[in-house]
Amino acid sequence: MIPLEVINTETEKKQISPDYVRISAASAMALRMRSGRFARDFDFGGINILLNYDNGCLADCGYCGLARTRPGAYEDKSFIRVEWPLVSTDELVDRMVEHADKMTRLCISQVTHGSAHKDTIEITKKIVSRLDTPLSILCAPPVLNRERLQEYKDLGVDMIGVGLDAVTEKVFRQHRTDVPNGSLRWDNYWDIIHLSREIFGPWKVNIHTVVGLGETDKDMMDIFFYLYDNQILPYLFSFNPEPDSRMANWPKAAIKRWRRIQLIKHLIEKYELQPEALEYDEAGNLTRLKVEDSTISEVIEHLDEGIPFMTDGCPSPDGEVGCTRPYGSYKPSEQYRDFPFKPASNDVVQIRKELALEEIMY
Amino acid sequence: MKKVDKYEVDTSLFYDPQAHFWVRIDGNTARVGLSPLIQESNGAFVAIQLEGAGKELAKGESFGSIEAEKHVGPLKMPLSGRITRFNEEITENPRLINYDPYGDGWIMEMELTRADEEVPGLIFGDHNVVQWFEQELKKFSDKGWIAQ
Repeated sequence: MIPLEVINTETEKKQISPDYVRISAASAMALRMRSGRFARDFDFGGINILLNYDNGCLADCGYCGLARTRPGAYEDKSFIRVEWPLVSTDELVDRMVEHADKMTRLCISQVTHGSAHKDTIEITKKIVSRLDTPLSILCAPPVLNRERLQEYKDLGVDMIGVGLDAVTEKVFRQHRTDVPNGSLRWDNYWDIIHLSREIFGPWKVNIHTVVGLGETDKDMMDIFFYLYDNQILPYLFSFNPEPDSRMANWPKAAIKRWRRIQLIKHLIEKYELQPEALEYDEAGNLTRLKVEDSTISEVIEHLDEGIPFMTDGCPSPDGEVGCTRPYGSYKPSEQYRDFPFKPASNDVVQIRKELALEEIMY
Repeated sequence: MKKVDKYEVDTSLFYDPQAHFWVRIDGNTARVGLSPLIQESNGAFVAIQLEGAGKELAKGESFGSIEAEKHVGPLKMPLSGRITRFNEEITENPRLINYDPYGDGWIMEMELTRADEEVPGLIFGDHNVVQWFEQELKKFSDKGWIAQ
């Protein structure tokens, strides 16, 4: 595979990477680069950094705020519904050093762009030279190959994320390949997933899987089993429509479906739930969860104290979730889809109702 | 207007110390909006829901909610009274509250029903308003809600 070529840019004149990056609104708040507060108070230290280019991302995914053909100038586009402030990379690193005691996980998100790799290298060097906080790269497979992935590892990046998002080739093709301008390839994504697994090792590669893009329950469970068998981590996201995107009017997954997928993924990951425990109808909808193992029964009884419903993300140095993306998959006025903290007891009561487990456990 | 830190604070108005509303009283009526500090500490507003037009509500009762990118909170009556009018422009463009909290970003108008009892509980006067604002700014900053 030949990665996209590097494009020479006059970075000194434009506010683009590597000298400038965007950071999530929550990151900007945590670093006190922007005022704001969370609906509930909790410690937050997962900093998401997004590469920034004048012509933006060259892909055109139907659900993404940064899609090439989404209306509006790139610099005005929201991503995950909120603005991502543009900041100087040097100032950002200074701020992260200043708040180093709060930092739990750093992540550079690439966009599909010819300069993404070389700029990631520059930014990574700046970060690892001054911070010990673990660093992930959420990569753009079209710009990568084996050598480039190895460069990240050699620089000290400890985890690679791949935003596969669509969990079947059919769904991927629908939203990411057969698009107006800037198609991505399913095979390319899987090549990079497998290369990353080889280079970074077990449980050091994560795949973003989005619930609600048109996949079935069985599709979701099948990819979980496949990834765990290969010691790759699936991270779960709930589709959240981006205004003005091609999928702006596409419905979110029903909360019942979402909760059940969260729970079953947790049971597979932590308690080795087997495929035989799950039954589906002809359309691939989950119809039954059969549990004979007493440990799993007990976990379900207590919903593992809410842990299955917390955000999936790369770990902090102490092994907790370090990247919690608060309010990424839901509005502050909506029910939490994934909790950036351990759900409170009243949250667990609500979750239990949403699960309606009596419908599939009998 | 008085400058407190980077904020222009209108010290000719009354302030609700709990909900951070400013209240411009004119006889038996009042116009109400959010203080510059509350709009700053919430971040960019993205939605506002207003309810109770024409109803008589007690001080502290909810008349809606306001949502920012990462926060949502109730709007509670600063004084008892009947809501006579909402600012329709802010429902279309909630960011007006961020841009112009004392002007186009006002929230509602009301007729006061218990002004004699309740207005003395509001903050008023140059010195008191500035002192209160400074204390609140420090409190909000200590909580990490204000950019540095």
